[in-house]
Amino acid sequence: MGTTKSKNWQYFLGPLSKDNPVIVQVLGICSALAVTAQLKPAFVMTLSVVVVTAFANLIMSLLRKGVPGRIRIIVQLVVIAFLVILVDQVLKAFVYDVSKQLSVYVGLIITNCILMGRVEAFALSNKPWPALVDGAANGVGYGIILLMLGFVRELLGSGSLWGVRVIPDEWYIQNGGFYANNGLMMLPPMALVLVGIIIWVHRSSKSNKDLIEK
Amino acid sequence: MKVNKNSSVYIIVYATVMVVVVAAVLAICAMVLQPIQNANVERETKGALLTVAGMSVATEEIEKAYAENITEVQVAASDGGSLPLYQSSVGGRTLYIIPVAGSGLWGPVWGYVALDGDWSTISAVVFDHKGETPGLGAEIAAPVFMDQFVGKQLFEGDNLVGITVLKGAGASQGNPHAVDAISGGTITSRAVETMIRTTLEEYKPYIEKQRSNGND
Repeated sequence: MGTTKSKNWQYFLGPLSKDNPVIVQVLGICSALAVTAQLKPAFVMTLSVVVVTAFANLIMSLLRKGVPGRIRIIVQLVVIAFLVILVDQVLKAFVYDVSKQLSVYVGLIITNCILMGRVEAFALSNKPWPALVDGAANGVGYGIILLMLGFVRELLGSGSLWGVRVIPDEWYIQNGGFYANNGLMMLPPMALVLVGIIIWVHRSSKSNKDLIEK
Repeated sequence: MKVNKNSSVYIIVYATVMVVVVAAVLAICAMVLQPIQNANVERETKGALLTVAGMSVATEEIEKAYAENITEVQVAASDGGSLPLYQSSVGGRTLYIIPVAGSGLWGPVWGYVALDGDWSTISAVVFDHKGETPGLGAEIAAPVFMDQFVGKQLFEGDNLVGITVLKGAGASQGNPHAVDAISGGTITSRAVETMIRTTLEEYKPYIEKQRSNGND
């Protein structure tokens, strides 16, 4: 029991840093650039992805013995699409405001490479409980990067955090100050640059030296 | 009995069962949730109309406030059909609310424009969208953008000029027919400009009639 427990713990810790889906496996970059102009959508997207990766992994792990190898990708896609539509419908019915906030991004979870990646690489060859842990952890690992990007981009791009203004109005040039928001922060290319900086910092830390390609 | 998981029969049966099960669950789910979702959308529309009429009401009171303050009428359109127009009287002030709709960058954008009795001065606007980019185009639904429309004029004399969106912060200052566009959301900003102009074009015959009546 002790060993399985620590193994699950490792399944959970891996995707947070050493095996992070965004900055190490370089998956899910597209949505990481699209939804991080502000912190709030980044956070709600994180939550939705955690739910969908966890359950997609769980369901595929339960089905793994019966899935015909030749159509497994299609089966994975159907399971993921099914979950995403279900989440979307439930959000629309019971938390309409949140659903509006997320708009198209709930639907776009289907195309997130992390989902297919984890289902194919992990859930199909592991038991349900580790698969659930792995799915959730990858969702969280993805979310950490999203929140970092959202924090920096909203702060420097709009001068606010979670929609609340944090840079005082009198600092702005139009009010006689010295400060201006960085418009580039609002655009997706800058998010890519930020992802690059995160990867750089992450790889230069002592414990991650082995990630550097020779 | 050992099943061969790679046989065509197994694959076809597996795929068929899977599709039927998934379709059935999703269909049932959609049918059960449909009334709740429709009620949400309808309540949101009514809430938007109340907002633009100058009332902010809690979600639970929207139905009652709507029934008390807003009436819907049909008016003749330029192409001979009829168009919806909402009238509100909040605090003794009569406003005419015109629903507008157009296409943004990723999907539909729509909104409501409330006009004063002169049929030209904008009293308030509400915009919304299906899937514009958060932080960029989606900002058309932010108060910062919508508040700019208050007090602007749709007509220049007898000409319908609509509201133009201009590039650069403060570019529209002092201009009664323009507002500042959203940086990074140019296409959506232009969509708002276009939707107001084209929708108003359809209402033009009716509005002109009202304006000339008012000026007599």
